[in-house]
Amino acid sequence: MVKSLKSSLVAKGLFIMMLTLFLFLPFIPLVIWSFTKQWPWPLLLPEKWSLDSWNYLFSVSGRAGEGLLNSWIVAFLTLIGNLLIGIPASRGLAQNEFKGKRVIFAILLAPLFIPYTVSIIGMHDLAIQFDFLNEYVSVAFAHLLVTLPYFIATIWFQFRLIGNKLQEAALSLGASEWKIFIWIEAPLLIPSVLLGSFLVIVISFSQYLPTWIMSGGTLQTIPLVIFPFANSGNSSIVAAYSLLFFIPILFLLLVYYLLLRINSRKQFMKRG
Amino acid sequence: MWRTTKISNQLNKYKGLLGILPALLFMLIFFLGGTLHSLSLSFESKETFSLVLQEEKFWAYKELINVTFLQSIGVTVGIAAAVSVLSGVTGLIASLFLVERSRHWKWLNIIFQAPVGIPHLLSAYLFMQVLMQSGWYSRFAYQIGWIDSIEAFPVLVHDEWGVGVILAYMWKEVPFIILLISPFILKLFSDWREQSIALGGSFSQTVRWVIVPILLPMWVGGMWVVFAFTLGAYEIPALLASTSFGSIPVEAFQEYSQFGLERQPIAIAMNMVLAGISFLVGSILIFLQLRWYNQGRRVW
Repeated sequence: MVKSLKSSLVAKGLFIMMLTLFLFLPFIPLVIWSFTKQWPWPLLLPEKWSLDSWNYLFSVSGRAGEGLLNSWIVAFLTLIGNLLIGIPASRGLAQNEFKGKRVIFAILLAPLFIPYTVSIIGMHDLAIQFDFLNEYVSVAFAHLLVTLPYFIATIWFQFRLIGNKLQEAALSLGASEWKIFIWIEAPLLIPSVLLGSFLVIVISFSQYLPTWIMSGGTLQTIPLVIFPFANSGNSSIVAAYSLLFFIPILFLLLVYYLLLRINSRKQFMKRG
Repeated sequence: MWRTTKISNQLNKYKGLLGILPALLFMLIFFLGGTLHSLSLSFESKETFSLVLQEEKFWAYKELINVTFLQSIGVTVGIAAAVSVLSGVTGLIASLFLVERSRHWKWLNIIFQAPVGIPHLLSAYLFMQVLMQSGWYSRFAYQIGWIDSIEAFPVLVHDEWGVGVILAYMWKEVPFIILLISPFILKLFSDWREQSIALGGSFSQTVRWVIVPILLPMWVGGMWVVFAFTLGAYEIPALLASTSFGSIPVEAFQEYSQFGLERQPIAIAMNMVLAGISFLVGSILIFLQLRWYNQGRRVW
């Protein structure tokens, strides 16, 4: 009994260690590569360090600034779309019981379960016919299709946790629908809206195929800038680009935790 | 007064439902409509002015019926299935440990969930960097003394079996599964652990007879999401698989982007096949889930 317990502990430790290494180790050479140009094979660390890749990144041909700007614009538009149509939808789904709810839910989450490339090709062809649509807007539409299921699932879950009791109390005290939303639901919803927005922005940042198809390969967001370099095998430049990619994500994570803390300090009522 | 609350309740009900409408319309128009529009595009004839338009309607699909494409389907579905099952199992085991240990090791949570925020393109690149024959792991192996030349390190990138592809996907999807199911496992543990201890159950028995059965629908759903994503994703096989590997998303995107407008129906047809497979697998899963529920196993 003791022996088997010990061996299972060893197995557990080994599993966790393997998984941790598997997930963490690949980051190390990335950081190293971004600060060197030459790193021949059996060396674990390069001999010469340089900042050339970082300088190239922000030069005219590096296009990092342009890529970042485009990515942010698209992500911002996508987020607005999500907030506008995602929150009411999750509210409706969480607070009402009706026939066919499962079907509607399934339709809203469909892009999670069925590859969406086909529909984006179709959307692109439609967008060509409405060619007054701005490139940013049409790409944001494609990203909205990809991100909406995640957003709705996140917000829906929080609405389920909030329940209906407080709203009913407010209703019986004569509050209007809008007042209930603004004074009761919105404050309770903030943590999950932050999480959902974080997901939306991160997912929108990382889209390659939808952006390419929707813009015909012309809108240079960060993944579209990086891909040719990654394919050509210029390790140093790609490494620098990748780190550049992490910076906004880390920044967002920081903002998320900061806002969450401010919010939880303000909030005297425990959520859930 | 009583009447007005009743009426306003009714109104609220409809208002709430009204909120669903924009999102529903969006999905219907763009997801379903986009798919149908694509479908109609794929039926377009090679030369629209040709007289044999009617007979040529399914040419794109007919062109796909050959051994190479069937092999490609096998490879793509096989990779997606392998990735989803491996990630599902690893993710489940990892989140069980996390829940057991999370109070002591907070940092594990961060490492185990960090890759969710990192794009697939970069995960492909990270794995290229470490798995290549001249990569970081092979340097390690050399320094330790496991291998004595660069060729002795196994070919894991651009290889025959897609090992690099599967590993790169797992690096992204295991954390996704953990993120998805660990909150639920945490809740299940706080609800059921004491009861199962009182009944004399060990940890593994609790997992086997309480956690897994309750979690099953969500866990399988998560694996389906991974399966569908892997089936349609482009970046990782494009960077890590050899050119003759036969990943359908890569082939379809080549057709779409490089070979001109008249090959576009082929690209659509390929993607349509993928969507069809995912739909089929999903239908089977839903059928099984309903049967599972009908046996009275539904807990929430």
